[in-house]
Amino acid sequence: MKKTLTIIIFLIFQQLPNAAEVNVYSARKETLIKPLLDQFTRDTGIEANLVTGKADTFIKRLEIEGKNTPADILLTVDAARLVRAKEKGLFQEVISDVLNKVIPNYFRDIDNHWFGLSFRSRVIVFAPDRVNKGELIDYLDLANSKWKGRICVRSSSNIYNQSLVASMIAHHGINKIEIWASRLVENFARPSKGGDRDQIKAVAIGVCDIALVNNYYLAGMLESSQEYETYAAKKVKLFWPDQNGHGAHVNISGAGVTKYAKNKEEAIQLLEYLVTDKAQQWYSDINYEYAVNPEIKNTAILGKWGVFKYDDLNLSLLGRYNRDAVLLMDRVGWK
Amino acid sequence: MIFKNFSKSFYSLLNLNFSLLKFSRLNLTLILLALFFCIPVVIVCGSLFFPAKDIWTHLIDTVLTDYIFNSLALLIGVGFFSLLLGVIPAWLVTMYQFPMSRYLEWAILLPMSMPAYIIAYSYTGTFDAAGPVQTMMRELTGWEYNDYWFPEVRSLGGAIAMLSLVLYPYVYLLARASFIEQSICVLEVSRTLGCSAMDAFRRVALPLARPAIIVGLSLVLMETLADYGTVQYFGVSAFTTGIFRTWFGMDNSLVAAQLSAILLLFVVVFLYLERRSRKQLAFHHTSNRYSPLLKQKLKSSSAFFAFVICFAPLLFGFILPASFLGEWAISTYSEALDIDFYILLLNSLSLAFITALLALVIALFLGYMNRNSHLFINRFLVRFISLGYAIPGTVIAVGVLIPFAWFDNRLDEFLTLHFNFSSGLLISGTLFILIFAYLVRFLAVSINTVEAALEKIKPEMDEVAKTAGMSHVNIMRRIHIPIMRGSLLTALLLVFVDVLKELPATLILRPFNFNTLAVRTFELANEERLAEAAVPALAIVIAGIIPVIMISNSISRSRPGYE
Amino acid sequence: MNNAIEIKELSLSIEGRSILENISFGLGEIGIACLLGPSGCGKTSLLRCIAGFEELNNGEVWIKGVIASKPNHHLPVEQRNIGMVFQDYVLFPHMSVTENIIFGLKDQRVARTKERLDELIELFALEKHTKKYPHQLSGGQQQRVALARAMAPRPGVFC
Repeated sequence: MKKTLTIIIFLIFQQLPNAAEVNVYSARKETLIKPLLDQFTRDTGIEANLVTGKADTFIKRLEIEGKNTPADILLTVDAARLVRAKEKGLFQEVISDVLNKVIPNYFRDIDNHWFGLSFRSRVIVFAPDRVNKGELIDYLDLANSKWKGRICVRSSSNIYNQSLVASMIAHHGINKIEIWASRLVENFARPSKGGDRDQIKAVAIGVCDIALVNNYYLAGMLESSQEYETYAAKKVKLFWPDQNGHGAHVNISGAGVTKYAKNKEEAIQLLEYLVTDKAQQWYSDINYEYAVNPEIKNTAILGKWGVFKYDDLNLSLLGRYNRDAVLLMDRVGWK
Repeated sequence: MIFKNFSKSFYSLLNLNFSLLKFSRLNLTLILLALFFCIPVVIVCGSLFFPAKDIWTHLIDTVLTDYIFNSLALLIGVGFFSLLLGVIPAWLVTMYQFPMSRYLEWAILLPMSMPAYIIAYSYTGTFDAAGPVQTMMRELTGWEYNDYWFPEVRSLGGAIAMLSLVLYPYVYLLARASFIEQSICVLEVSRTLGCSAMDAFRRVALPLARPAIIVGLSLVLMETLADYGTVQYFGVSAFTTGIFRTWFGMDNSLVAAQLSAILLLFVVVFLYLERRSRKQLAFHHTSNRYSPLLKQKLKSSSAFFAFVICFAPLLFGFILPASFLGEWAISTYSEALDIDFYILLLNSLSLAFITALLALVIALFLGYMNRNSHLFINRFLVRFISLGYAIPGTVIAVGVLIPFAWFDNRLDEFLTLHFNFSSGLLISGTLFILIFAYLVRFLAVSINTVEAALEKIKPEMDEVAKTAGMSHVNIMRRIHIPIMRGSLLTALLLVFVDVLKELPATLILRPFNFNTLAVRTFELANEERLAEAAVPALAIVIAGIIPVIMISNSISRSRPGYE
Repeated sequence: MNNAIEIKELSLSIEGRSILENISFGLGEIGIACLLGPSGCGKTSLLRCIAGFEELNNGEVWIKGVIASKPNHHLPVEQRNIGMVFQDYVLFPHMSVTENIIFGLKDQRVARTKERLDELIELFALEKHTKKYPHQLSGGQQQRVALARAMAPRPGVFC
């Protein structure tokens, strides 16, 4: 009886302090970040402890935990959330020559509170048998009535869409984009459901003709072990929007060191590790994302897709206009 | 062995309880305990006192009608179908013998081990436009997507179907426990008065089982309101998705909490109606003479119907989705079954077991407290705690995180100030806070079940035993527990399976390096890697099956007079 | 035959154990009979056979000239028109006294039942209790309600 009780109490209160370690709150899914962390541990001897979840949840949790938070690093898959975390005072300044040298300045915070580690683009995929490549231009054109009933996009609750709309608001203003968004919604082939992969599949089988997705989903499906995924992915083609304008919308996955991090040194070491050539190449080869380090060569699929012009809008604007974007999408009925 | 020691100390504690005065120290402790569990509910309701006009104007203009309409549709649809799927088979299986009835008795509970979103994913993956069924159809007929009509899985109707299929077992379980516990004499009397089997069911058995059925139904409805994974995946805008959106998308936890409070309003209304109707009727046992329940053998045509009625829910709620999952699992199991997976398994099972046990113990304490004292405050507190079930896991998680983090921070400040010693985060970030969140959410389940069971034991029984010189503890041990055993195990099982499946609170509150099967399944499925999600999903299902069988057997056996 | 009840060579075994062996007797049209015997000798079982709750191994049960039980033939309980009062009354807890009494009447409409109901209520002196529920009655009152309920449909046989 006593033994059981002790075991139970132990299980419940397990918070044994460790040697050198760093604690990570990650909005990146475990499978996408753990291998890097494991490699980090092998190379440096520092234990990396991981909790995965939604960025917003972590921001809330960091706010509440305050001084006593166990987290050293917050890792997100979108810039708007990094900006939000900074605005709430959850990050601290990190002075690191390595980080500043490798990462271009439009991919990191001006006050050195957060740093982009990889970036991705929100592109248009289309069915080549139903859409002439020449018909595609940019995001604004998607409001054209010629696309009526032919577009698939995921829900507005997804941060990638919110950031896309935020970037468009930054370029064109709320009023113009509200009109654009309401026409876009009218062009939907069906009410939003599923994730980006679902949209790609929908284009493949003919539910719609074009879709807005993040490029790495398409890459992932092309390399998938599931036959139905590769089959669907092969039936669509990728189009880089707005190449004659601002460029394709991009977003980063990035991280910052928390204000009350207990393991600040180890955290900075982890960040610097994530921008080493090895790690950056990993982002490109395994995750199908573009390395922030411009020197890294993209192989395989990314290489095949080639170079493209991307929007170098200051990413903190994605955070500034996030709320406007969400309210706007509600008003136009983008569910 | 452990159980014996445990029960001995448990009973001696109870002895203490009864031998002291009405407003004893223990009673006070119990009240404090109940208040403790009420904190998240209080926080959520308290948010209503802080107006946030502009957000509300926006919500009302845009999405609020959707939330209300869809949530109502879900409630009505799921409520109706789970009643149908739960009560009828419960009756058939209790009263009649037909092919496979012995197996269907427990097999019909199997969908309970499936999380709703898992069954949603498996049906979508199979029947969706891009899935194998429709693809094959198109290949065979040459039709294009727009040429034919096929029911859309990912819709409001689909969500109703999915939720009904996994939630009806709650109704079934409670209806069946009630039918079994009914005195056979009541049914025999009705037959001597000319009632056919249908009449006896309609006029006697069903009304007598009504409290239990309504308890089951209210659990179903609260679970429906709290569901997030299914409605989110199906693109249905309900209150839960709205709460998430407001909370995260608009970073407005106040309004999100207010939306949750409205959600609670639905629940409170229903609970009130249920309580009111039960007030008049004291459903004690009608007779203490039990004879073995002789099941009537059905003729072949009726037997066939009975079989179909009982088999269909099992087929659609478990067999089909499990086979879809099985197929996917077979293609991925070799990579999936690594050491990480076994750690995951251990974590999930131990967490669920500890929580279920704690929930039962606390429910018994509270149940007895309510039964022996007629203080209004006691009853009110217990009702209040039951609301925890209706709150979405996310909301509870934050409602739990705030007070504990506050406590940890204050304690740390205090200690740093006076003793120059920083305690850091003692509670938040450990399993304790996670279990506490589970208890806040799931206590309602064990409380409801225990209370429904306690209601069936006449106070006079206690009095008879007292005149024979039995102590309170003995009364409980030798009279109450054996009669209630089926219900107690039901309570244990329901909480165990619920914790195994729980998702949002676990996602938010879990400590570092701690994952559960549910978390893993959800993440994989959301990355649209359904095939890989199948293995942990099946593990949840299998782990949940064994208690299902256990429970079913013990219900049959705990009926007095069963040979 | 004119007998209300006719039993011929009735045998009953439950789970291998023989309860009743080769019982035969007849009961006249109108009358009261009494079964006497030490406890455990099978009185209740015999009554249950007559009521139709048990199936015979051997023999016959005739009620009012109609065959009710035979090894391969069994008239269901609800069709035998038997009124039965159980040892602990077993009133329906979710129904009032009135509802309990009229439960067995074929036609449940108030106009039809009122006459019979009033008759029985007067007979058993239950005027003050019509709207009460079983748990609000004393043991004696419950007994009277049970009797009234069993008699309401005018059964041919009463036990």
